[in-house]
Amino acid sequence: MLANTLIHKLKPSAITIAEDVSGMPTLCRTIRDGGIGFDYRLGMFHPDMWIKHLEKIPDERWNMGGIIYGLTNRRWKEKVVTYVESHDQAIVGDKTVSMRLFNEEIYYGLNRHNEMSLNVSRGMALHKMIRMITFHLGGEAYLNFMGNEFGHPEWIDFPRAGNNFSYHYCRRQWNLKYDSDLRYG
Amino acid sequence: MTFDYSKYEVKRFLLSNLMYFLEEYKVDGFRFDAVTSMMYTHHGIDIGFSGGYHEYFGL
Repeated sequence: MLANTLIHKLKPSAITIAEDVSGMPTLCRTIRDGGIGFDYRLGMFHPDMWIKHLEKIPDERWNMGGIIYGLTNRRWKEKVVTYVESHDQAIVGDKTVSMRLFNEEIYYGLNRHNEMSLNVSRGMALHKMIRMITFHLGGEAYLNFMGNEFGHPEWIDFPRAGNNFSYHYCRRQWNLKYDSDLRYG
Repeated sequence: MTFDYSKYEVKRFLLSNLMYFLEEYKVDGFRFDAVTSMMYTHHGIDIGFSGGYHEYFGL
């Protein structure tokens, strides 16, 4: 509350966003109204819901009503930053939506000059639709993680003792975005 | 690690950081990570939330 007061006093146009797992009520009400004073909260349930669908539920069992409820079950007048995936999924140990959808085909199936496999066709369609539905229903703002919008392969791993301080995976491959041989290029 | 928010020096240090980024870098805003650990005296450690109001107020 001190932080929100200070920030908004110094710069009224500044935006503060809270990452809260507890679902605290009044998080985004003004301090004047007895709230905590944030402008937005992160829709932390949304990425978890998509991972559950992709990992545990076969396509034909996806419940659209349940998905829409999951994205729109939010407090009235509390602005939400929604997202399909954040840095969490891109960091070593987890998988991004495109990695879950394409699996090993992410390395060869996205060549535009080859015939599209059923798996890639499904993956690209779901990758688009999942983001579209989330963008439209999940909140008042949308968070992307750099590169995931064009199905970036591989993960991020910062130099550390466990990887011998390697910089190999400490990068995003922006060249892929401009590679016209790729389906997302 | 958790900051001791009851100490004036700690509060001053954290708030000074916000001011520094606003004034020197002219940032448009802040995203506060793990707000849960700041809002509760139990810091949200080993606590599950079911959505009942008793979990949020009067702690």
